[in-house]
Amino acid sequence: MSSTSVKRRRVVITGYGTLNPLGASAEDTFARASRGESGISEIRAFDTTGLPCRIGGEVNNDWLKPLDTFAPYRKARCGKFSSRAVDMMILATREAAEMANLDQVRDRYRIGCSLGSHGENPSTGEMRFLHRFYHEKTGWNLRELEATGGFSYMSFLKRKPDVAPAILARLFDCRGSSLSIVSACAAGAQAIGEAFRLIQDEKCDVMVAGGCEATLNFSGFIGFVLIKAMAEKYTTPQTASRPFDRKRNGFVMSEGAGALILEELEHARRRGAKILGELRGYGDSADAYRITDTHPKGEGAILAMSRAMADGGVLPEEIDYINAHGTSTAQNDLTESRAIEAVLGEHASRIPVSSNKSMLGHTIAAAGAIESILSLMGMQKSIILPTINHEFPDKKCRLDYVPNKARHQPHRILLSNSFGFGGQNACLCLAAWDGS
Amino acid sequence: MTDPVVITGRAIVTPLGDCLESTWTALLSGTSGIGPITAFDASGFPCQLAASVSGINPESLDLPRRESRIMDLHSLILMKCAQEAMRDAALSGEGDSGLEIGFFAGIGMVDYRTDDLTGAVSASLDETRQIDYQRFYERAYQEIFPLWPLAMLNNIALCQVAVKLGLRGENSVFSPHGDSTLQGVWEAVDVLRNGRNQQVLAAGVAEKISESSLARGLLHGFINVRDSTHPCRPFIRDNAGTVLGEGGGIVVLESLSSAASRDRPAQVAISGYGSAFGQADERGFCGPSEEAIAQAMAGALRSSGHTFEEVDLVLTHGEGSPYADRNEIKAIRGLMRGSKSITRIYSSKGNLGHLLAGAPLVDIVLAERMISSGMVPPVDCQGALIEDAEDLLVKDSPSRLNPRVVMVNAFSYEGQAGSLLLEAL
Repeated sequence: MSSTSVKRRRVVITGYGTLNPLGASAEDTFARASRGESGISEIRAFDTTGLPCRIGGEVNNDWLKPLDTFAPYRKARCGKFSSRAVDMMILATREAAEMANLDQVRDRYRIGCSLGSHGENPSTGEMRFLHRFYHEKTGWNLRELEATGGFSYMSFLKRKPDVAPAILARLFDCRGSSLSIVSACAAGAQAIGEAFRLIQDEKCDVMVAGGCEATLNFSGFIGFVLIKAMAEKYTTPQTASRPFDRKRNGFVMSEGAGALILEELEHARRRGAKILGELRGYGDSADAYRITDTHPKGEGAILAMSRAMADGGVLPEEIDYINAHGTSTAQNDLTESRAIEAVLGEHASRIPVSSNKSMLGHTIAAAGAIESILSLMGMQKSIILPTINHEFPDKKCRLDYVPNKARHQPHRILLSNSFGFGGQNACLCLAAWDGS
Repeated sequence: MTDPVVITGRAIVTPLGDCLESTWTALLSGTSGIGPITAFDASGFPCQLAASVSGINPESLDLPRRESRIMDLHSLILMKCAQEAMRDAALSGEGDSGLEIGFFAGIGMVDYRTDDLTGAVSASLDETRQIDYQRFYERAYQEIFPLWPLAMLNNIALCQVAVKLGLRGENSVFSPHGDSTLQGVWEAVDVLRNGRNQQVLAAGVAEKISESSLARGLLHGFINVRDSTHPCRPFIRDNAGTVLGEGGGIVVLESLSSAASRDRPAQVAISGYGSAFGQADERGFCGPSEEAIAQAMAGALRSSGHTFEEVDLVLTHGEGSPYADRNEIKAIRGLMRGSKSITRIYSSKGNLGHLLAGAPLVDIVLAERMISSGMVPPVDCQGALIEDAEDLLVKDSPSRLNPRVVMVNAFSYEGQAGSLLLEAL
């Protein structure tokens, strides 16, 4: 199939914001990442005694304190039904909205919200409470449960993925399309991609797009322990996430949020918004291989990258940099490297490919958004962020992974990859803004 | 429309049957799929009624045991519908053909099954029957089936279908209500209009009715606990809420030229979509405002190039809750203002219950059948109607309305509203 058959509206970025283990803002995060710092530490949020992985990328609780003085948050009493992930998303969105002067946009029905978000996991306290009233043979004892005052409605509400975009829409007065995407690790990138399509399709002029995740709690964490996807062998927390390194042995779970303001080009120009970059293309695919494994040749990743380039009208030799999914798992990093070689051919060996997850860990639904923001900032500052902990090259991973030190290098067009559990893949093609 | 996006395959599973024919026949005869909950002991809940689906088993779907173990009812319904819709459209994902078949789905909430964790909890109990976390962390968690975490991801149902049928085209999963499903359908249309895939499956499926989903609905306040004789009566003046339903469906979409090149018949195109956000009530989550609903409907009209006067029928969200029904009727009346004719309305929820993310997809398939047969089944709505709905609602017996342009509405409880427009070719 050909790529776009109709000339479509161009989509630019006019704001971004993030909260993650490295920083409480996009600038703080980029500054620390460009110094090759790690945001990974021993987990303090819950007791990890006995677990084979006891580290993660936690967001400093003090960074959430600005919510206490954020008037719309207090007025809407969001504290009652918001969750940690949504709280982070609100602050990321506030940063992005201020950068974009979102308040300026008059027709609020032309502003939508597209969010990768999975809802909050039940806490161990809730599960422990509920299991008191459940017996294997007789099922639930609801009368006993009711006698305690019952289960909290807010706990159910926090589990729902569409509560997050609804809260954002309410706080930032976005009355256009509001959607929640639940494609695991690809959710953030897909949310940006779907927002891109809504603007191209003239359904909205502006979209708040991104993702958030806060799974550093027992019930969120234990699942990934069970599927043995996380790093279990590490000397220090900071060296555990080592994408493309021979000694990599799993990803490190993190939490965070990232928000971008996407805007139709002429709309941004008319209101004099500062244009920070352009979203050129979006591609996605399904591996359709195995539910537990990625395709060994990275076929799904190849499709997603190829489709993003075709969608953006970009040739392989025009790609200057790839922000890899680079999870630090044995399987992903190898298949992603192979996929990049397959898509770019000889050009693959000439361009830098790096993984932000080496410093941030894996923020799941937020990853695609945070990594897009860092990619965009890298283009603005002509800095390629490094892959840290790259000490022992893997002969099978043959690309330039920007080992350990950031590199000053102008670059204008890049790909940002996100691949999800189950085999959903997404790729965004971003370009520097030159005013044309 | 230069090359309209049309429906060439469809499959549904509803409380009234495991296919379109049985559901359609039952709807025409006014049969209700609502009855007592039998899947679990609901006697302690203030509502013990639901519209349940039965008889879907993994064996009939040719699934490996290891994978079907993590498939709850919603995954099985999605798999069954996908297999049947692909057959109906004469499609196969084998070889490279799957590269050009996309898949977008609206999927409901995924709740953990208590039994999946009970073994681990039991192994963690200390002498006083309290959970000993040390025991849990060190050993007991290994009692949990290793693939269980995957079952908790909302996207796994779509991925399992993609693996089984070889679907490698564009895809996404939206969640958890009907507005999400309509977003997925429209994204499928966008993919086809811009030539990014050859065919796309668009799906919507409700979560399984369980203690968790029932408790969620009850605490949310949208389930009828007042009137067990009439558990779901859309657009009735003293309506008391809705009733949960199970089910969902899939349509196969492609361009008319693609359908023609494959010699596949097509009668209905999807031509417009609109969506908006606005909460009906500042205090809580009880659905979209009248204004948001009107904006979504107006958006669908704009993108299709139709006026509301040209819409013959609206398959409403019509769930039987006071807020949602009244706001939807007001929005419809507002759009009808100045119109020389009236636009008739229908709701399937009186018979099928509220299928949440599955509802609009089932409604799309029903709308296609209404357009092709000319018939509209009666709405199950005994009692005095909301004043503004009286002359609009199709009730009492099936009507031959011969609708040509049909709108499908779907809302969330969080304030999202979506509208899709279908029309006869």
